Amino acid sequence: MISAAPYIQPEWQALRPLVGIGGSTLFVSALLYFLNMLLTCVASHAQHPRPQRLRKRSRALRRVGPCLIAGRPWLILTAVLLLLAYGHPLFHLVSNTPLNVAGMRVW
Amino acid sequence: MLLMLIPWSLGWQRGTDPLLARTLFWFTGHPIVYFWLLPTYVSWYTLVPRQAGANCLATLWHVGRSFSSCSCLHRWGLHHQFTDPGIGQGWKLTHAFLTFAVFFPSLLTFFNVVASPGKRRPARGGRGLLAWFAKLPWSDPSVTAQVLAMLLFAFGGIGGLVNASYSLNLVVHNTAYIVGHFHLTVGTAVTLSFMGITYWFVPVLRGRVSGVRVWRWFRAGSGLWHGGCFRLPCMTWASWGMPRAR
Repeated sequence: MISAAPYIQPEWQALRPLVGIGGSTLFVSALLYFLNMLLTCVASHAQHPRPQRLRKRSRALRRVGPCLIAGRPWLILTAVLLLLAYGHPLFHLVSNTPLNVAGMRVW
Repeated sequence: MLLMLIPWSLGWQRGTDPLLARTLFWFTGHPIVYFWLLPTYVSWYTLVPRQAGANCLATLWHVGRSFSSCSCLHRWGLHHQFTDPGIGQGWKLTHAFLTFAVFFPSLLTFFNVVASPGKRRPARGGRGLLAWFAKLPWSDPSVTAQVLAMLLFAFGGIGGLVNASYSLNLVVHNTAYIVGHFHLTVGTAVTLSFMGITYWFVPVLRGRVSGVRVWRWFRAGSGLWHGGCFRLPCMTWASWGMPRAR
């Protein structure tokens, strides 16, 4: 069984405390993060300054060619490249796969 | 996967095919990481420069936006299957080149997110090539978390070139290097950025100033420790032959 393979060799055991320290630090910091968000929502009374609005269309945007702004050319390029990169391998696999591997039930 | 496993589990067909299942899995599985990464890119392009008191470099912003639009180009999942038999070597090599091609817009992104605040810093006292970096608004945990995320993401991105390489991939295959790469990119950079975004977004939504500053620093610092002090060495240990842990 793959999951029973001895992946952790004896020489790597010394590194395990580092994993434990790191995991514990991250766990505590995650708790503090969520507590911080909760306190911001329910306990903070100081007013937050109103954020500036993002400009809809800058002057620089008008200088850029439409092909860089529009999404359609990039989607077409994506479709063409996908067809080139995956078309033949997938067609070959689908048309030749025997679908006769028994599989392994895990339930 | 559902088209194979459900019919099989219902007894409509005799079995499955591991190679086809793996190929369809990585066709979907590799782009999924970019659903997490894209909001991070958007924040790095739009939020961080504004928080640093600068504007995003105009032309490159649009190149970056187009890169985001075509991010579904990141579908080159066959580089996860370089060791799988049954797929032509030529197609694997094609995917290797296409994966390398993703690196160029990534370089544009890196240049943009670094140059945008750097362009403004000399006016605020940061002189020289690197001094502006110290003048960033480090007192803002939202900026701190996202800039640390960018720094660690750079190492993750460079490490990704090894994964994409047709030959070097075989060296790091099934070692701790892969774990280190994903933890640096998604587990550290994306998570830290999401934390930084919420440090800005939640107070704006609620109209209230955020709570305890030192806790937010602790969060950013622990992320730096996680990525810099554990995941980077993780990739180094892999070069000594450390396998993926259970």
